[in-house]
Amino acid sequence: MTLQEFEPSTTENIEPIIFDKSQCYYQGRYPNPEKEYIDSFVLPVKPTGKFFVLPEGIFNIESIHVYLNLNSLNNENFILKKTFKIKLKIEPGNYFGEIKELGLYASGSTLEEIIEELQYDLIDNYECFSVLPDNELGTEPLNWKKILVDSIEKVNE
Amino acid sequence: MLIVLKKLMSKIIPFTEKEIRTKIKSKIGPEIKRGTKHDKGLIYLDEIVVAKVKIPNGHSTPLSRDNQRHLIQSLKLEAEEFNSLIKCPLSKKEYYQLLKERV
Repeated sequence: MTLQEFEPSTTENIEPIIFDKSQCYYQGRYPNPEKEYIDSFVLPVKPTGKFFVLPEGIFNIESIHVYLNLNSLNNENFILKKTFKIKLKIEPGNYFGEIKELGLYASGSTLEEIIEELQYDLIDNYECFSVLPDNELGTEPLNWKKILVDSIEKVNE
Repeated sequence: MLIVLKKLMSKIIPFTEKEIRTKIKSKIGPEIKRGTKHDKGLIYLDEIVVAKVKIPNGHSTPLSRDNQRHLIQSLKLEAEEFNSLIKCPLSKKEYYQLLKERV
């Protein structure tokens, strides 16, 4: 199975993925339906789960994973200095995204919805942890604080 | 080997958002931070913040599997322990004992 990396320069490059494409008529035309399926996406994807080639020529998968780069917080008071990678899981009618290094996750029915929530959570965590002294933070929260302070700059009070 | 098998066999029960929210607030008692979409909870151990969790809203619908899996990780629990926390056998004292061993 082909795994293609996705590194868009901005989130503006994101084009919606139509999950209906997960049900494509195979009709014996393609010797390698899995590859045809992957190639049919606008964005390179990492499929998860299994491909099911049904007798009537339809093949399907359970879900797909896409990696997006987040490089804006969409907030005039904060600048994102680092790009965070969002791992997106796409299922019929549902998106689930996570920024693993910060333990952040969001789900919703649209891509925009979860990007907005993750942007909000980044700012929320920055404001929460950046004001707490290091000696009041456990190992993981301290690590989050370091990443957030290095990655986000507050430009307006 | 036994631990791996145990982990594989542990099942995430689809609890409702309301059940989870209620139990987290009553049994763990995190410091609540109000958010626009979700409340967040800071969990302290000996006056040190050791975890931050996204608290589900009070809907009567089941929390999605992905959300529940990540919430369980945020709480530093295994699926079985989480089930026990929500269903009641796992006490507040036992939760904090587990947390102490894991952070």
